[in-house]
Amino acid sequence: MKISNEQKKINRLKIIEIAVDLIIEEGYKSATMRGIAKKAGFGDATIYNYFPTKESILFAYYEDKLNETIEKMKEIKDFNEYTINEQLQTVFHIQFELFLSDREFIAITFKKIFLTINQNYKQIKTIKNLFRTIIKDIFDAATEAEEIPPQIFEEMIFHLIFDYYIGIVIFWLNDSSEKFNETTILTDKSLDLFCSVIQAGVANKVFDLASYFFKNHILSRLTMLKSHKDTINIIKREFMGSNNE
Amino acid sequence: MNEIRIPKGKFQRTVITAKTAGKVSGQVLTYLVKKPFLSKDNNIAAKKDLSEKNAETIFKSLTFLKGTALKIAQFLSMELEILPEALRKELEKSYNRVPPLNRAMVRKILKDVYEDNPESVFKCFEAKAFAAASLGQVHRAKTKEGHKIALKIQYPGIKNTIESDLKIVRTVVKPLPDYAFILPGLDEVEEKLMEETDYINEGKNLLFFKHHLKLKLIKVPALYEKYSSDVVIAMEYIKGLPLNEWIKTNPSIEEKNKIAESLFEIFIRSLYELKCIHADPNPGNFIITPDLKVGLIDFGCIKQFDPTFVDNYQKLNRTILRDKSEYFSLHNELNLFINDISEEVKNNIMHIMHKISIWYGRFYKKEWFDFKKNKDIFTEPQNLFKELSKYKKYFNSQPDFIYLDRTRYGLYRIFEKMEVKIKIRNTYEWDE
Repeated sequence: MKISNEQKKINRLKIIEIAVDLIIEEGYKSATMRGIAKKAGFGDATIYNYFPTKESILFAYYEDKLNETIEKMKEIKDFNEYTINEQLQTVFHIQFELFLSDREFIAITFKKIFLTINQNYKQIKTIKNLFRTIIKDIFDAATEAEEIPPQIFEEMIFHLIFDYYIGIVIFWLNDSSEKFNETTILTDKSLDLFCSVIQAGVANKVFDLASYFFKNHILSRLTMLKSHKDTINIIKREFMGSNNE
Repeated sequence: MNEIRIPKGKFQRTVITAKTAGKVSGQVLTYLVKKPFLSKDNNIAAKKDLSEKNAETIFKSLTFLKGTALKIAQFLSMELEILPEALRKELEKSYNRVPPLNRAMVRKILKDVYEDNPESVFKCFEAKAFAAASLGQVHRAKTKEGHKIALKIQYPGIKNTIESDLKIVRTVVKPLPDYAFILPGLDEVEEKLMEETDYINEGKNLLFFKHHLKLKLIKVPALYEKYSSDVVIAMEYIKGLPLNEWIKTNPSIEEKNKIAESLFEIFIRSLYELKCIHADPNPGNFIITPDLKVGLIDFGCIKQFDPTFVDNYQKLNRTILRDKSEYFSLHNELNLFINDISEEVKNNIMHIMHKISIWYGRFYKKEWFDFKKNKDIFTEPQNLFKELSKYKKYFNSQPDFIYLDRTRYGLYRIFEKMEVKIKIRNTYEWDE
């Protein structure tokens, strides 16, 4: 039976939704692909057209939430007028808003996905790249508006923010304060600090300092090495040679 | 990004207090070292000097903590009977300081309350605050029906902040000589602050004043309960300027007199008719409208009195310039003193209080009281109060009195700054 793309999307969403419910009710281990298929009204085999493994449903869930976050960000009318700090905070607020109704599901699955080293590195990479797109967009806009200086270690910063994201979600999962106020305050304070560091171009300054040392000290040592040109050439040849083979 | 923010993290806060505590202990230490070498008179002077210096130190760090601390700072400065001019100015600046909540946070709080985006709930909503409130900040918005409203939004977790702030303040004031006397006052401050964090309660207070204080010269905004919760309060937007800003626009003396009279009338009528006053006479809480009405916008700090207390207070005022013996016997009824007090001490106290009453009577001496011509009136009784404070331990704790006096005094200080001439004599406290 041929089904439309539209129908495929609906089915896919339905499977995720039911998997979330089932995992909350029965736990991750007890929820089986067969159980999910049955509850969703699909044949035991049909479900595999959508998801090859139970784990891939989880990845799809987190990916969807990030995509929804992007949609929600677009809905905010004056979002482009927000400062970089406000924009980043909003990303987190929206995430938690979307996570809230599935909090128990997140508690069961989040660490499993983001904190254990598994073979699904590729799938994590998809989520990470999506997250990176969101953050990069915010950084690009802030750089263009000259709110922050261009960052030399941009990629490293993006990695850092992703790790921070994982940390904050885990904090949120352990937060028992009213309306998760503690998480809100922590996000507010930490991002505030982070953004001031970014704005002050601390990373750039560290690089400047490093390159100063490099130029003035390392390079001057290199001129000293010139007298040993032959030795260097031998090393070089060996090194390049082994590379070429 | 140059916003002045409340140092909210407990870590940061403790660091600041640790610094303060260090300084205070240091000063007490200096005093103790000096003590054996001081003569008796010098000893008293040194002790006084010490408490002033301490107050100043605490004050400085507290104003830095802002928010809740502001109130505690105000309180401490009153209790220690010193309010150095420079510090008073600092305080004034902080009334309308830049709000600490950024747009992302505001959005988040509103979304939690309305379960929808602010732009879907309102026709329009200004993400930037236009004024700071004591425990939050105020935003303009327009309802879908087109009503202009002011939304007061509370900083998340403020209740915990108050608790930890007060814990810190209690630790810091421990080395002060007046510690035992300050402590019950701090409990009262904490209770009042906690009350202030409850915006549902504030809404109730607003409605109480709106329904009961029927005066032509005031404007109490309408409450929009639909948009209010425990951390957000929505009220009608009142066009105008806060009193302190309004004064800067150089209004005529007649206009100023009119406003001052209204402020005084609000106070007197609330006290004697409602037995309940707006106990936070901060110039930022009064909005002067273009048609010279006084808009009341902050109902967080309301003090309700026992009717008997108000009766006695009224009698006290009525006898003040007339009958000395009746004035004294009234004091006995007010349960001012602890039971265990000798006649001699009582007489000494009464002697000082009589002097104070003569000073206080000056406000009623003539039909009109000119605050501009009587600039000295606030410096004059300071020695008397200091003398009286030596007998502190003989007094029962009277929070009602403290609140009432502080409000009245606060109002008079506003009048002093406005340099107005008004009738302090009023139908409740004066027989023509």
